[in-house]
Order: sequence, then structure tokens, then C-alpha cells
Amino acid sequence: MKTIACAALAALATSLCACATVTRGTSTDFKVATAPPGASVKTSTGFSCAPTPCQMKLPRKTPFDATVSLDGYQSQTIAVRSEVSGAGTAGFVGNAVAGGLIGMAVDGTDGAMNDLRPNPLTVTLQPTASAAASPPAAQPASDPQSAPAPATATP
Amino acid sequence: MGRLARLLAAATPALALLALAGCATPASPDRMSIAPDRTAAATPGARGYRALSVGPVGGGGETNPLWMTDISNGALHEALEASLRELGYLADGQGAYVVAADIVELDRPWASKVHPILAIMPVDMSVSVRIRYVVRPAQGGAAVFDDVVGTTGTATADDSLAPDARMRKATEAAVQANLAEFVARLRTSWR
Repeated sequence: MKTIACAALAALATSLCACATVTRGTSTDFKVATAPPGASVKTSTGFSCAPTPCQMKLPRKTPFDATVSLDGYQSQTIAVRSEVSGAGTAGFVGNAVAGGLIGMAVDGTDGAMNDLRPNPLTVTLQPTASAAASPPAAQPASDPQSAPAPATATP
Repeated sequence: MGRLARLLAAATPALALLALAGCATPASPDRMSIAPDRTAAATPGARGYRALSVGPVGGGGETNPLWMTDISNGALHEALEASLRELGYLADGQGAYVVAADIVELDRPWASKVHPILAIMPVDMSVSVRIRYVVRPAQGGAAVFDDVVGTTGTATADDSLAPDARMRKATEAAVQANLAEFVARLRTSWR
């Protein structure tokens, strides 16, 4: 009977793990903000959102490049990494304490231990040369959110 | 200890059975297709209006009931065709353009099938799908659209307490979002 109890305890301990997967999930909200807002964002993995500020639900485990575009501004491509995070590590350690080998394997392979960095992604866009050369009067100073694209600002 | 041991001994097989007992069901075309409430429909005169046919669809797989929900090529073909019809893009008969779709990646929470706790806890399930769409003139020539669209669908305990149903719903939601995003991108970036 003792053997059964021990086996049952071990099995239950094992089943109570995969802490990071349970508490954090394998996807995360990836947020993007730009100055000025209104840009579109596309990742090298095919995800997109627009207009900024916006967010997408992305797998934690996959790194990618995010390209931010807005008419009249230079597009920027930023590498977003997938790294093991503090919270993910805590979940993994929880597995170790409970002896959950399956949980460790699950957490270690499904990306639940990882976070995307940087997140949120904040990008300051630079005007294209033609937009920068346009007269300041063409740019509304009071409301940067409605900054016009060079197609309209440049004669 | 004796009572606890008996309880644990009884509970463990039950937990294991719960994890393994669920039967996966395939993603349904009806629940993957979209209507104009998801993205704007084409209007007469717009590019692509009633000009598309659905061509080859690949990358899908048949659902193994003992494993996870999958998207069959036939189901995606049907969902794509129904969506294009609803949105005013599908031609009557052979269209001037042909849409090909290929499932590049289907990222599912497989851990729920191997870990008992994930089968009994109502955790959110997210499924990500990446589909490459290519739109070409039916008579041949350069593609007017060629892009990979990635989207994620999530199902919560409110959607279903059964993990297999939750995964199916998340998969269908991911494809629905994917079709909506494809049509939105096609509308804006038709070359």
C-alpha cells in the first residue's frame, strides 16, 4: 500500500507542474507605440497591427523582426528577442521543487518561460528627408498625432 | 495516511484518464469562415470584385482524435471560398485570379495533451497559425499578392471547459482572424 501511495504522490506531484505554462500561457500580448502614432507594424513572422498604438497576441517562443512604417517617415526594423524571463524562471523552479519532470520539459519547450523583449516596443519615427525639408508651417504644432504625411505636407 | 493513500491511488488514474480521454475534433469550415462584419466587403468596381477563384490549398492535416485539432486542406479551402463569397470577391465559375493558400505553421498548445493538470485546469488556450496566400492571374503571370499572414486565436474557460473543445475553438478563431487579415491586406496591397 505504501508503494501505491508513494507512486500516487509522485504522479500527482508531477501533474501539478508545468507552472509557467499554466500561469503565463504560451502567447503574450506584444504592444507597440510610436511617436507619432498611426503607424503600421508588421513582423517577419507575418503578424501585423495598425494603427499604433496597437497590440498583437504572439507566441512567446519565436523571435522576429518588427517593421514599423508610416507615410512620410523612415521605416524602422527592430529585432525582438525571445528570452527566458524572471517570472518564467520562477515557474520552472516551481517545477523543480515539486519534482515535475514533465512540467519542466513542457515549460522548457513550449516557450512559456520566455518573454518577448522589448515589450512594449516604443519607436520614435524620423521624418523622411523630403518631410524634414518641408516648411515648419506645414506641420501642425499643437497636435503631433495628426502630423501629415509628406505627400500632403510637401509642395 | 491509509485513507489519503487510497484517495490518491484512486485520484491519479482518474486524472490521467481525464487528460487522455478527450477526443480532438477537426476545425470546422463553417466556424472558420468570415462575414462582412469582420472586414469590409468588396464593392462593384473595386479591385478583385467577384474576380477570384480558390486554387490549391496545402499544408493542412487530418485530425487524429487522440491528438489535437488540425485544419484539413479541404476545410480551409471551404472556409476561404465561403469567406470570399461573403465578401464579394468570389467569381461565378473560373475567376480572373486564383488564390492559393498554404498553412506554413500551426502552433498549438500540445502540452495540454501530455500534462494532466493542463487537461483539468481551465487555462486559456492560444493557437497561432501562419498561412501563405498567393494571388495570381488565372492566365498566368506575376503574383498580385504574395504574403504570409500570422494570427492568433484564444479560447477561454468561458468558451468551453473541455480542453479539446477549447483547442478547436482557438484554432478556428485563429483561422477566422487569418482570413480577415488576408482580405484586409489584399484590399490594400494588391499590386
